[in-house]
Amino acid sequence: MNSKIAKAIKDSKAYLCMECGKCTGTCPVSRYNHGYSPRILVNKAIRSGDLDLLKDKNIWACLTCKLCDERCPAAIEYIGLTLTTRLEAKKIGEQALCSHGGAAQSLMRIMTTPELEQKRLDWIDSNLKTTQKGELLYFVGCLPYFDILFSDIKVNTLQAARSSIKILNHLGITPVVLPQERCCGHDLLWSGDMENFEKLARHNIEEIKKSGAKKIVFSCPEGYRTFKIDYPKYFSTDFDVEHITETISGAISDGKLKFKNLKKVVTFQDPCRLGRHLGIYDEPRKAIAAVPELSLNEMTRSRERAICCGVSAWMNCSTYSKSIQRARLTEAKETKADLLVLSCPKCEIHFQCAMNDEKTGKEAKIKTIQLVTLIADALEDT
Amino acid sequence: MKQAAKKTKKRSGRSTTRRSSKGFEPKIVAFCCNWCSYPAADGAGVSRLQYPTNIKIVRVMCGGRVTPSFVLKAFELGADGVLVATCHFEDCHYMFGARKAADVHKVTEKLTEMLGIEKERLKLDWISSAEATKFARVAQEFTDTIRRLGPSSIKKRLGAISEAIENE
Amino acid sequence: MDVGRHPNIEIFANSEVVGVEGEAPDFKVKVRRKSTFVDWNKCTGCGECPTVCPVHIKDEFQLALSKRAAIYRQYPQAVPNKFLIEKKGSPPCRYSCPAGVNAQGYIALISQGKYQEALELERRDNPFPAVCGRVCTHPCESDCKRRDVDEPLAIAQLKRFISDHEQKTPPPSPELNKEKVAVVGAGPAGLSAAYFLARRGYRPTVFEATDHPGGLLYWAIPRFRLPEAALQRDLDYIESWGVEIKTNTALGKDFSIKDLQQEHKAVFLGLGAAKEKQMGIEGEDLQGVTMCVEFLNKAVHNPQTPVGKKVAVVGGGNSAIDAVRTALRLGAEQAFIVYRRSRQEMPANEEEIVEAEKEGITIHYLTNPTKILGKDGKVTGMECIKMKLGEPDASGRRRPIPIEGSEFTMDLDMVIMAIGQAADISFLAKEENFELTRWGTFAVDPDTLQTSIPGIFAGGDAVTGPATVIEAIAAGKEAAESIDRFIRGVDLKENRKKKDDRVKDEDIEIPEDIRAEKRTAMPMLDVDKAKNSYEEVAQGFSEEQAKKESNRCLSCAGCSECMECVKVCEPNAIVHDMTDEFVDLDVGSIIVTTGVDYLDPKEASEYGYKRFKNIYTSFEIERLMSEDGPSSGELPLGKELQEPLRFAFIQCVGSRNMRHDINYCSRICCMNTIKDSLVLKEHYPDARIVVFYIDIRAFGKGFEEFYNRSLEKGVEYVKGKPSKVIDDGQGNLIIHYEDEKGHSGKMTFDAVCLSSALIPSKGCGELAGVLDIEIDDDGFFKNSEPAIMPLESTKKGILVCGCATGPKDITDSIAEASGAAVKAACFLEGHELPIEEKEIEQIDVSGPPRVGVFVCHCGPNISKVVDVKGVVEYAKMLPDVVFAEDYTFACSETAQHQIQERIAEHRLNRVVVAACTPKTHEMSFQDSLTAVGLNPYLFDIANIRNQCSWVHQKEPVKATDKAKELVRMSVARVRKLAPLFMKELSVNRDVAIIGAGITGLRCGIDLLQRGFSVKVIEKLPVPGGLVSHLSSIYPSFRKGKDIMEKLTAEFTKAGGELLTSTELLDVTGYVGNFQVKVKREAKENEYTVGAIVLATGSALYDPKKCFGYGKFPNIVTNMELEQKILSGDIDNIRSVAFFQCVGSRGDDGNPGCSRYCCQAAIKEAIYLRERGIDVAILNRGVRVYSKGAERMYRKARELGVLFLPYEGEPAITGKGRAEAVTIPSSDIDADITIPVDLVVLSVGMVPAADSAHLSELFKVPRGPDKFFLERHSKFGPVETTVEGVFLCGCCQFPQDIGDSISQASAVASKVAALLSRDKITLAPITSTVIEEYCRGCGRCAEVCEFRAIELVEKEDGGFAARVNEALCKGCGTCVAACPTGAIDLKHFRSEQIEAQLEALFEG
Repeated sequence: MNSKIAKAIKDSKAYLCMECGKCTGTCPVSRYNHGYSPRILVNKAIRSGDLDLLKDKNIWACLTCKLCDERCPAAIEYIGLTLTTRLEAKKIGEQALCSHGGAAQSLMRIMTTPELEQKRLDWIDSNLKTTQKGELLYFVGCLPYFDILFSDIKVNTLQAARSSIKILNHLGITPVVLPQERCCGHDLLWSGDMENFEKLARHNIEEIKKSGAKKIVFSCPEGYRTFKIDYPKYFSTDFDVEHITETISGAISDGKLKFKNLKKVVTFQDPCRLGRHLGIYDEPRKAIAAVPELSLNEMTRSRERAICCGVSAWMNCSTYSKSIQRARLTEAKETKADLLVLSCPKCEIHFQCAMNDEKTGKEAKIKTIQLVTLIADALEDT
Repeated sequence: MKQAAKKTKKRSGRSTTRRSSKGFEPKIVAFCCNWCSYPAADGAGVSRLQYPTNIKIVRVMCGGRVTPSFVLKAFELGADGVLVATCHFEDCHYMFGARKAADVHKVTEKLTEMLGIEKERLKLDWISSAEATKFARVAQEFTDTIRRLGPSSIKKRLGAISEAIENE
Repeated sequence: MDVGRHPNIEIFANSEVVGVEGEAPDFKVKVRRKSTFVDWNKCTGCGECPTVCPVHIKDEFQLALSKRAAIYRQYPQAVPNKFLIEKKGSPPCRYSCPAGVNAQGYIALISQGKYQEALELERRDNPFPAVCGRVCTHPCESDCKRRDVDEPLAIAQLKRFISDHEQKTPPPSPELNKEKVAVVGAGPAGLSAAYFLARRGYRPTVFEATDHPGGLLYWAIPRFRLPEAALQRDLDYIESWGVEIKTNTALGKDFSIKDLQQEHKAVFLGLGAAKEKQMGIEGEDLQGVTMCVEFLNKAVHNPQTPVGKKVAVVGGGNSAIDAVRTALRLGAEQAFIVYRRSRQEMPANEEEIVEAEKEGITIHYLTNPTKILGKDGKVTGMECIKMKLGEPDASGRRRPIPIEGSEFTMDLDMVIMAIGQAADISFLAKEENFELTRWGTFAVDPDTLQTSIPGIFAGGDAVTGPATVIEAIAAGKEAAESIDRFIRGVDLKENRKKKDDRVKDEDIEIPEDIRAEKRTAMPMLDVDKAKNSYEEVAQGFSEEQAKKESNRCLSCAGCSECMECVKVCEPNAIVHDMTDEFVDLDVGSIIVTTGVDYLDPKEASEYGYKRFKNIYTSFEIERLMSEDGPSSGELPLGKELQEPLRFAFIQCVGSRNMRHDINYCSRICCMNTIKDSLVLKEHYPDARIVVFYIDIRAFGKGFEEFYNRSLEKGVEYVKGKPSKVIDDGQGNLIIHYEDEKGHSGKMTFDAVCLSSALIPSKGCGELAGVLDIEIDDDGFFKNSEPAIMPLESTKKGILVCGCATGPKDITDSIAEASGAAVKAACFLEGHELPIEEKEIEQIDVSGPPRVGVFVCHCGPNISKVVDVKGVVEYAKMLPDVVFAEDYTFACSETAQHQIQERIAEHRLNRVVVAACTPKTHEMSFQDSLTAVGLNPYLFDIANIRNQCSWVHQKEPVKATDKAKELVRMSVARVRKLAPLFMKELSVNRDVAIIGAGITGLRCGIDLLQRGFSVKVIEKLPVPGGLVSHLSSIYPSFRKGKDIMEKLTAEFTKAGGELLTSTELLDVTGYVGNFQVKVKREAKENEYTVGAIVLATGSALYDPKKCFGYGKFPNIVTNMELEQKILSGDIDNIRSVAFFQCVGSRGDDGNPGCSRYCCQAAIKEAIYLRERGIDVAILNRGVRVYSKGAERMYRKARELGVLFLPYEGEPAITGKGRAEAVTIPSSDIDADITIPVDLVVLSVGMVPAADSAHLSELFKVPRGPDKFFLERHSKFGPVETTVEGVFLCGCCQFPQDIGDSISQASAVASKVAALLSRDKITLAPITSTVIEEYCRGCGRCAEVCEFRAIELVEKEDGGFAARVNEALCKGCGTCVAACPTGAIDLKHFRSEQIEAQLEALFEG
């Protein structure tokens, strides 16, 4: 057996599997894709752990949403196993079907070029204050690229970035925004491309070091997870990381943020990276609660039980993704909320895509807003 | 594993036009549609119109088939320039394919620009099957432009994963 | 291209119909296939030949704006892609040369610096280039066409040049012929005979009486004119062919004719004319009188030969000049010539006379000796008489007549008689009984040169009397031919007569821009030096001079037959002696599509075409503005522009002009000009462009919009026809014109384009004669009835279409072409070609790829640049490649067989051919694969010819690298390819036509005749459409109703089903199998049909309240007028005003031109005017363009119909009824008021009310004008984006009746082609969906113009895209739109394209 797989089996405690099938019962993919079962993959790993597993198309179907981990009675860390499996599979030339023709992956791999001189800061409006050097850095992520790549479905993920900076400015912070920031590498890592993940990570760490930043704030949960969990695992870093909801929540506690009335009912989508991966459930809710007259109707499945937006790492977008999205949006609508509050750019893109459908989009249509934007817009003018 | 070994052996047989900033030979890929620009390139041959060897054609049925991902892929792999050549709008064999190509091109252009890839490295042009001369001219001029720009900073760097990570 | 590849279409290019017999459907057609001189079965279209062709003549395709070679392809995309040679006949130089030396050929080669090749070419016809380059009388120069420009070329001197530059090469050794031949006499005739025999493989023996070969060339031509070394070169060359010369062996002394006959199969006698003539005057026997040749002979060999002090030479030939100049060199104090005629008649070469004069020699013209005076037996003087010239004699020269009493005496001490020689063969005659002429020469057959004794031939001076060297050579050459035939036992005479094939003077092309250029002067030895030495006087051309001189050649004959092309043609396709071929064809029908020509605007001399620079025809502009044109899309103005370009178009040059008998509108020019103005604007954005016009006739679909776009771009339009164009001498072109106010004005331009008229194509009259069909008054082919039968000629079974019947744009022509096809097919009943099919066992391709790479040399086309072997070796190292090899021509049959064998031998399951372009050769290789059971889609071509060797000729190393890259990419791609299979759909042969107007019914009848069953669905209770409401139809003036009734009857009689009062409910299905649901009389019915034709026509604009319609009772629409005319309700009307463009070309109604209304109004106006009614037609430009319409317009003016321009809504006044209309006049600054009894509004055509509904029902899109949108205005004018649904008539756009009918037939043709087969074969390159990955978002369906993708609901309530392969055209735009990658295009899959990219950048 492949030694990496063997180690991953050990690390993930896969041997503990009782073959109860709870994971499959829980898995949002399995709900629609009847050919997909986490349990069988775990078994495959334990029994062969080699080509049979690595060449299985299903290893790419997992959304790594961690819902199974959450529910597994044996507390197996399935997504850890999945990651290693993918890294090994990639080595023998296996890969997932990339959505958008692999354009997103190409963008990310291009970003590994050290000499690259991106022009990625055009979106920073004149009323936003940013700097090149400083203590606190705001990590934008791939939003500028997403807004172009997905201009056909009319998303505006950058609004979250603008809102984040607005909030930071409001708190008297002029964040560093790196002109040569790279993709954090999350998607490449999760699609098995360790080589390019490493390049991106090293570059980001280097850039951050140059900026002198000691603390990094994220609005993107994937970047946050990558910096918080994955970077330290492989590289030495000397900065703190924080999600913007944590920043907001802290500021609210400190009484630094005052809000206008906002008479709205909202519901909240827990992104898997922010929620189950990092356990941040309360901070967003605290932020919503801080806005006067804004009320939160939780979806049936929220917090630890929240359902994913259906696609991960720009791969394996499929009819099942669509079903997951439709179901989730229906659930959101059922709360009778005016707004579906999101806090991940990919949730925004994927839900928007699902809602744009000519045939089934209408029934799933609900207005969405990024949490940071909701908060930034509700800020009392100073 | 056996296959991989074989592959390494085969690599030694490659023609070598190595990049160096001095004798820089740009690598340019041209996506040409089957009905206009590809035949135009053929026509350039028939008329013995000379242009640099740097341009390599990939045939697609329609310019509307060229996605941002193809262009990005080319740049990622080390293209110094990418040309998308389609029919003129009114000649398009598929009615609006050339127009769609132009729409998609706008998106691609924005992406590459944001990536810091010089604008001039990506070009969309309309070449009808009768415009062999135009094909040759565009090929020449585009190559000249790329030559002037020098090598693209992006290239596929095959690098080993650092040991620390590998052993993790 | 499609035509060229179609298995059932045979193209006879370069051919003409020379005779037609019989009646439809049994025509016998005789076709003359003009020789192309290239075997098209062998020609690969590689294009090597023109690169070596030295001839540059005007390129007709580029309208003589650039040059092309004599071997050429008509244009780069020509079908078939084959070369041909243009030969106009023998060039004058060659024709006038007795030996037929190919002067044009070697001159052309000299111009290319190919001197050795030139010499070889020369020697094919003449073994004496060194000699003839010096002493020939060069009749070639006398006939050289360059004389018409300035001076003839120095042809002989060029010949000398190549001889002087001879490089010794071993002569080729033809197959040896053992038969022995004897030649007597080693003069030019004898040696030539021997030489030409040797070229044929004989080893002739030449017997020469003297001790040196060369005859008079050696013995009698002074060395200063012909150095011995030069002569020796020619002699050596002749001998090098294996000619044996035996000197000092004299006939009659050392051997007899009999001796020769015994040992030899044939004999040639080249005995010369040895006997010198005497004048027969007193004193010729005196000492000091000598014969010319005798004198020269002595002098040549002895510089000390005694000479007189004062020497007279009698005669005017070259020998006389030689003698006198020799005398001078020998020391004569005074030497002169006495010649009885004037200089003009003097036979000596002009240059020799000039040289002699330079050396100080006097020539006494018109002087003739009468007596030689002497004393003591020695010459002391000569008595001469003055002469004058009388009438021309037999030789064509004026006969000299002595002037009585003009005798005078000259003192001298030597007289040289140079008045000619005679043959001296009396000794033979006695011995052998040769028949002689009365001049004592051999009597020979003039064609064969055979004497009275079989097997003995004679030529040269002994036959002709004294003649020139070149004539002697010619004789030797002819004799050699005869002897060869004699020995081979072939008829001596067959095909011997010299062909009268001199290029016709009118065919010789003298470039318009040619500059006079003197012929290059021969460098001469300094006179003082020359006089005193025997050194050669003429020094010979330098290389530079020779090239310069050779470039003066006009290439009179086109091809110079230099044979260079033959040398480079690898497939040996070029056959210079190919002859025309006659082919007899049995055909059922004939379609005439001979097109049009442009009027040469030189006739409109006031516009300065060809007189001034930068005046072009619109056709020339078309070429010039083309990227592919002679100037790569830029105007060759020849001057720097100081300010933005100023450019004018002048419309109607020739068109609509009685003076030129062009009594029609050329129909395309307005749009052409508008298009060109926009193209110009692209190239020169700041240009000022002015169009001078009479009427802008933008009547087609989208044309008005185009016109408006040009207005937006700032193109200016000036109404009026300029009076003249003048060049101010500084390159400014000044146009004089009159503006609308009547002021004359001037405008200055840098360039002017003349929109020249389209005229019947050349030879159209002759063709009409051959076909026995009629021509109309304008010279176009006549229709049996223009409006109703626009495609039928005046003879049954012969169809005419496109511009052959009158000018037309591409869209209309294509519709007519398709229409003609269906009409023709009606005559072909029972002649369908069977399709063969056979079963082949399929190779299993499921295993790992095993790629075979086959690299083609394409003769030298690839291998000359690319290292083919290197590519093969490289290919062998690529992944999965198990076999690679190369072929000279991979497309050849042998190579294809070998590839097939290799597939079996090496169990190949993927094939890459590195060769030429897949666009031409993919299919043939695929067929090869199919033949051995390998799926044809497991194949790829690496285009290393068109994309590599041809375009990187100067970079062989890089080109080889690139070829390797291309192969690497192809291999990468082919590894990822998957087998694809053709699919078949069954076809229902019924057709539904929607609409029973003239178009629908016409289409129906055509389809019924082709054997389809047709249902016409009409919502109204009666058929007939708009046409049935027309009082008459121009130009036949038949009633609309009558026509429609007849047509309806014809339709039902032919078995068509007419469903009136029928409502369309629903349409489902796809091509071949549509379900059309209808409701008729409350009953629902469903029909299955294979194709649907929309012929739903249009509606007429409802003027509502505009133009006073509805306000006054006497304001009516033109349709209402038609009714009035029909019912005779016009009696009380005295004055009528028409308003044109009501509801056309504006914001309301039809945004474009409604096309029919001008002609309709004029037709109506004529009717009214002929009944004494005053008529004014208020118009916005009169747009009459149909056949006969311009005439009708003219007739209306003749009758006094007033045509007044108007804009905007006019004032219509009156009490209770319209009494007067008032419009402002632009030219007289006053309002014009016209009293009216009736106002007629010519209302536009607008889409029918239900067109939106129909569009939805049939999924046929509508354009911005809301008419149905055709698939492509040029390539698919009657198709829609929905496969199997067609359009014709006014539902697509307003048309007149003739156009609609042509379209109806065109649709019938398309439908018939579609439904003729039992099954429709679907090309397998279509999109395909992996449902698992499909989100059902529908973006693919949205971008698909062909409605090939549908979203289907799945069990789970979601949707998935499904591709209808019957509709998919394989463009792949849907793939680009798909977010997930669920949809992909077969054969161009993303992974296949990415593999190519990866392979490319791997290196």
